[in-house]
Amino acid sequence: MSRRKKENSNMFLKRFTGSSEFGVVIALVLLCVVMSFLSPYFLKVANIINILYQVSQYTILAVGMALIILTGGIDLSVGYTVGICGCILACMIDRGTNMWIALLAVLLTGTVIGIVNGCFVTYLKIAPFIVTLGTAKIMAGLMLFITGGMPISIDCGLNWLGSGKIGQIPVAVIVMILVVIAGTVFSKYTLTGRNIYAVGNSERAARLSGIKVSNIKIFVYAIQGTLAALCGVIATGKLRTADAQLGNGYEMDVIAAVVIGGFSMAGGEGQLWGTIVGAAIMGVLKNAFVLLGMASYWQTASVGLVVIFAVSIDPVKTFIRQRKIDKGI
Amino acid sequence: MRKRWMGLLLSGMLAVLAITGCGKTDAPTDNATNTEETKETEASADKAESEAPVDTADKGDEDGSGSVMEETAADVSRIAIKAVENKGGKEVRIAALCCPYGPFWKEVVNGIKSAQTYLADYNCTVDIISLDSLDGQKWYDAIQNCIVKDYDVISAMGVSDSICSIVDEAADAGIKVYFYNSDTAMDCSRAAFIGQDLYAAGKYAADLMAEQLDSKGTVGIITGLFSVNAHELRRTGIEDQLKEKYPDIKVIPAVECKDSDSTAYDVAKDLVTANPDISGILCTANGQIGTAQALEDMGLAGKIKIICFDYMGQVLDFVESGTIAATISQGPFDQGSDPLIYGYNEVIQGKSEVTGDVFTKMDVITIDNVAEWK
Repeated sequence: MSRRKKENSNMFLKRFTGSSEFGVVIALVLLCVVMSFLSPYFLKVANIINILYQVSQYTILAVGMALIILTGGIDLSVGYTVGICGCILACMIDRGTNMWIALLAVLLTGTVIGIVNGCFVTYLKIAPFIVTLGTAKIMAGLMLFITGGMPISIDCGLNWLGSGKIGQIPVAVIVMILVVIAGTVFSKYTLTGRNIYAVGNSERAARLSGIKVSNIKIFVYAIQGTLAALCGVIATGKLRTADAQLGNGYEMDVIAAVVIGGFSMAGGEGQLWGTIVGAAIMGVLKNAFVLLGMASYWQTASVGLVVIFAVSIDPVKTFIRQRKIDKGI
Repeated sequence: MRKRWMGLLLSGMLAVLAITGCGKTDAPTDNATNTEETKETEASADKAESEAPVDTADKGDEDGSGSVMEETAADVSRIAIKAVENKGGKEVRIAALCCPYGPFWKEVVNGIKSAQTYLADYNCTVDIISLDSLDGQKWYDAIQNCIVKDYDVISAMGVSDSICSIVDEAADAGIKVYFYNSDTAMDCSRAAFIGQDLYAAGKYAADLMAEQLDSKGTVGIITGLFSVNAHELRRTGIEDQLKEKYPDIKVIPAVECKDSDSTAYDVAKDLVTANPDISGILCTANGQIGTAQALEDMGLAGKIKIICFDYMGQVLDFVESGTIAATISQGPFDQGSDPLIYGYNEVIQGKSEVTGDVFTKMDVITIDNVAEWK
């Protein structure tokens, strides 16, 4: 290997091992290694595909949530956005609307919900926690209004997004991978993407340097809304049904995936590809409970323990490094 | 320019909501043809002659409940309990608490509305109070409000032990409280529980599974929530019966699906992956649709037997297709109607005609009789 290539790969390794995502990648690898010894079924292709399928929706949502968290915000309405978009889709298809028009309408709805959230946060300067909690409750009520409390079954081509496969790979997994790649490229190599980081690092500095902070904030919420609508379509396609419970509780798993994936809740820090690692850790854990026949009372505690372990690796590393610096090593 | 774009987007969203939500014109389903076996009594027979099934879809609005499902309708011919004569003309007020969101609740609300119609002739008003979740705190608050409003009878689900103290408070205030569907694990001053013998139902489900598997094989259990007493009773009933009576059936430790079909879908797939020799899955609560869908998607419909509870529309479809081997009904109509009539009778007579547990019957729905239930 030429000297330059060697230097580049060393720099890459150094940067990677120094990043906050390194810890969670190690945690995921360790978890997978342990599982492969504990269960002969863990490394089966079907099981790996199952895990990826199960985390696909959370990962897609985590990409949008990560962008919001990068700006220092949060979105607690994401689960209900998934739900209401799924319900609207099912309702429209049930009433005979063309599925492409229904899809467009649903994506539009999700985007508008995101914009509304963004506007409240940006222009009215209400805390994102409060705004999105409020819109979540509104959407919960609207879901009941739209469905009348009854599930709506649909049978149309769009179900392919949620339950279809290309070869052995579920379409939802392919969509997840595409979204993560697009999100990573966007955040790293586009001006708007870098501006998102700038806003998260220091809103004041970003504003002074000419970045339209309001536009950036509304933009990230709009992206989240669109991704949530996409997930609504996938979730409805998975069970071929939408009901008022669709998407309930998604927000907690999504936020956990983002935080585990190396993002700081204060904003400005994190790599989008980390969301897939964070979601994968949670997916492997949930899969482990079933594969190992683990007494279910331990499941919730185990999730908490592993989450704490995963997010602690980086702070511990930083602490050890700082101690060495202080001691002059 | 930006405001124009935002205005356009908002208008588009409003249009979408208008298309989907407004002007729901589907006529309420007539449930009079549901052939759930009714216990015929003289009074019910007389009532059937004098009163045709009433479409009370709008009555929900008159009650002020606002969110009761539009597709429910009263059918007094299905009521099994007779109301006593109200000779003194005493006004009786009953609060019927329910969580009318989901296909299971359709039958419960049918029962409540039927009792509401039936008791209207006895100077008894039934107010349907709908809650949006099974959160114990919300039911506690609702019962507390009913105490303030001075109802004579409250019909509620024993969602969790957290409502025990307020039920005691209601009883101290002279209000008769009847539980339906779920009972609390802790003792409290409720007059009676009307619902399925959940532990026995679990054992029955285990028997049905053993019949499907010729008493040997490997089964998994997908339970709703470990924190819900009703689900736990069914789960322990299943496990105890399989352990006691069917030693050749291996039981995989139960997994929770959080009462969600989506989670049940994922969990069912994992169960099958981890246990290739699995021959049956028992579902204790919601999640039966997700489980059935998962098996269909894996091409294992009918090969792995599913035994579950309740008979919502989609469940019946899966029974018809053979994906679900059998489902056990818990008498939701009776759970809706009977507590109200028992409560009314207790107010008029001054004593309760039932105490303890009043178990509704368990009907088994299989491919052989599913047509009767559709």
